[in-house]
Amino acid sequence: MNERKSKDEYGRTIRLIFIASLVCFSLFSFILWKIDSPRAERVRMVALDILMPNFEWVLGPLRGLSSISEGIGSYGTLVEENRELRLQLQKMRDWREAAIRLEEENSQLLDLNNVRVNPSLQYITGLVLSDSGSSFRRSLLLNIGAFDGINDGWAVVDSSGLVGRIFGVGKKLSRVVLLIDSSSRIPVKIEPSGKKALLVGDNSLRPPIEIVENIEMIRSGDRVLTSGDGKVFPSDVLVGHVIRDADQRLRVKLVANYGRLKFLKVIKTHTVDPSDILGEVIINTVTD
Amino acid sequence: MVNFQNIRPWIYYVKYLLICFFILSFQLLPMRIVHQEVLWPNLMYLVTVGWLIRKPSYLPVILILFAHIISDIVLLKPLGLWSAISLIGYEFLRWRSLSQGRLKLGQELVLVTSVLILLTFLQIGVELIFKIESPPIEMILLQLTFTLLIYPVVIFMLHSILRVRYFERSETVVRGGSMENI
Repeated sequence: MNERKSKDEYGRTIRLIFIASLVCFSLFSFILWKIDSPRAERVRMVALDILMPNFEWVLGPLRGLSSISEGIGSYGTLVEENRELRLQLQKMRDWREAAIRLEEENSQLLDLNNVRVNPSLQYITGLVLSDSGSSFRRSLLLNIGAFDGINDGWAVVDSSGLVGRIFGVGKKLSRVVLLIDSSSRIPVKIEPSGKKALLVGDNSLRPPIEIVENIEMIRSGDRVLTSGDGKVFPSDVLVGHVIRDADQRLRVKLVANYGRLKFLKVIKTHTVDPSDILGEVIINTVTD
Repeated sequence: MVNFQNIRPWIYYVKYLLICFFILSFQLLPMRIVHQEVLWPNLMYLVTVGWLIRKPSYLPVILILFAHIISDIVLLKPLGLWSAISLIGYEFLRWRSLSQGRLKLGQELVLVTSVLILLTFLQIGVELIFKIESPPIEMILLQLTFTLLIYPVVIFMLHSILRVRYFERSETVVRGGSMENI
């Protein structure tokens, strides 16, 4: 009996050490993540590359179910939606005429001035696999990755406007940090005043903008576009429209349909390596 | 007979992994971006805790760690932080339930609530120390409340669907000797 008891004691100590080492292991991985975040995130992307296909056989049917229920729900609003669409179509026809006229005029003017237009932007389209699963981190996984030529930092848009940017690329998938994530900061400009500002994610669907000066020049309804500052983002991608909240704070009503993010386009941007620019400058000065 | 005794824990292990897998899949579904006011309760915690209170010897610590690390990776959380913190809480609950046995529902609720609150504040503390951006405190509290409200449902599911119930006397006698090898 006594022997049995001491054996139990022994087992308990071993167990305690074992648990402590497991806790230390997790803490160690946490500290590694904290110290070298980019590398840890790369490890995470590799793990996700391996793990996500395993989730697919549950996620697939669930996704199907949710789209069915969405479809059924949409029947209820069908009549109303139709009426609204017809109304919009009527308005759009007028706009279309105006747009065509302006486009012609614009191209003629550009031609007259010999303006070089930005080389056309290229897209890669991906399917949204999953969201981050927590309300604190606003990000998505797309089913396109390094194999499809995706790079970190590229802008992600849906059919109407900016959604977020690529942060973390795996072989076959990539992570998109949404504009509304609290870590997201996007340089924007506000048309027609042309003021530069910063779009700051704060977990709400109407992220605030921070402007340094001349707030009075900005009106509700002004368009918010990416400014292209920092050379990471392409410029002139529509983000949303300015609104004022109850505290008179400026916020952006996003044009991207955050309720139904399914297919997203990643805009290919030719990122400029700072050293390249420097080299060019040096060469230029030498040849001059 | 002997075979049956050996295979039984494995059934529980597989059940636990499957339920964790389903919880993760549901959380990953890309449909909740608009419904941000509805926060996901910490289901994995609830299932693990309910399990440990009912069947402390049928859930090895390594399995818990595995499921939690995967969840940290997939849910894009700080790697390993919640795993480490929650593991301490889990082992406390396991020790408690092995040494003191069955709880009344009220006692269980109080115990689970207080452990979760402690762990959450521990996590916030660590996040503050390491200067990790932690979500606003109201959101955390809201999630906490939501998690605790849903606990009875989780217990019910564990009891009726997964058949994770309080161990009976005979079971403890049979398994009593082999507890240290988990």
